Amino acid sequence: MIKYIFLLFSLLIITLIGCKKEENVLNPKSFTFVSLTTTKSEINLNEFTDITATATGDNLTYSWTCSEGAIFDNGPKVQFSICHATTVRITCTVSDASGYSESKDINIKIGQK
Amino acid sequence: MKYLVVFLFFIISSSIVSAQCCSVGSPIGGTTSIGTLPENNIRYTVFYRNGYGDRYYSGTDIVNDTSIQVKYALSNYVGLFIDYGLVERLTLGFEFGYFINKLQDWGSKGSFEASGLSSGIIVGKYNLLKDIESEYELTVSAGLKIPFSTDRIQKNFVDLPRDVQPSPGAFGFVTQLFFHKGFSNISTNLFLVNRIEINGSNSNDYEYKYGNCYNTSIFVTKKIVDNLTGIVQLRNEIKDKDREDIGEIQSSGSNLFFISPQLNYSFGDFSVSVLYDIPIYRYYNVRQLGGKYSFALNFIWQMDLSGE
Repeated sequence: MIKYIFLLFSLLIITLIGCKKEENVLNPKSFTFVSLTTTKSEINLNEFTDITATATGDNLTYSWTCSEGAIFDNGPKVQFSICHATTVRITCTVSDASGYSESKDINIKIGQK
Repeated sequence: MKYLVVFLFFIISSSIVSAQCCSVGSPIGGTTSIGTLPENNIRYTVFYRNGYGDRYYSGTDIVNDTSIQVKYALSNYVGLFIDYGLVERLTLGFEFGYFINKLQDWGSKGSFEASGLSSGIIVGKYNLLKDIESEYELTVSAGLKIPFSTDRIQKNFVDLPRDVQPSPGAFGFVTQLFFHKGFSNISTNLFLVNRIEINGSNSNDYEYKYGNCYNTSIFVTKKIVDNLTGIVQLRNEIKDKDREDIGEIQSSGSNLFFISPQLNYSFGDFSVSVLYDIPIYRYYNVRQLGGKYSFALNFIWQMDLSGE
């Protein structure tokens, strides 16, 4: 009886390890969030700046948040503007179809002009 | 007079989710007939408020800057308040708010708009002093403000601006003091209401914390004819600066004074009020969009459930 339990337990361990290996083989981590850049890291009031997220992977989605101000458009390239002087943090989270995701922040300083 | 049949329209227009850079003030807290209810009485209040602003202020001055991208902002809001007289001196209140819309127009770039539930408040009101002969009443209340959502609304995976978000996204605490003195020989009443809202921060949103609000109103009511009462309210609204995890938002916080004339018509268990806000002094930190006009309608239905 103990022999069968040991055999069953061994099979379970092998299956679990095998599944993990198979997952790695079938889903190579081609997903990479390369960079988050802006055309201007300092802008004046009411000026617009482009922000671009560069990433590789399949079926990518780009989610954008900002502490203040407004983000226009969607996808990998957006525009940002705000009507008062401050420093704003913009966060982009890129996700792929396999569930991988990564976030990057960028700060934009808004001058008084 | 078993209880006050004049319902005060006390609305906090610079409360949370309120004017910082680019939105007009939005009512969140607020209640009518702020004193306690008789035992086993229930009162339903529905109110609607519209606000619009298209002019920027810096300090007390109007900003003339044609490059400003936000052309105007508006909001339409409905609130439901339910008050229940639990025992003679204690009333429980529930407040709910819903933005029909909050809109921010960026001219040729388009506009942002959102709608949704704002926040709820559970409040207990306790009557400390009441003297029917001398016609005065002192009631204090305290409550918890609960956001209906801590996540910002997005469109196509992009955050809509904070100024159009319906929910403050954070818990808070509310205290209120209500004092009434009646002068029945001249059909006049005097009220003093002070309300403080302490706002928490939202860990899902850059630890954003809306500034605390301190609102004080003095009301004078005068019976015009039977069932019709005129009310004049002088209101001061002070709002602290907002904060986020990297510091204070300089372009937030204000000190405003309003005169708000109000008409109140009562018939049976119902009452209808209309109010219009007239700003008489404004001071905005740095630069913010100020409200141009604001008006509100209020419907109240009060019932005695005791069967007496």
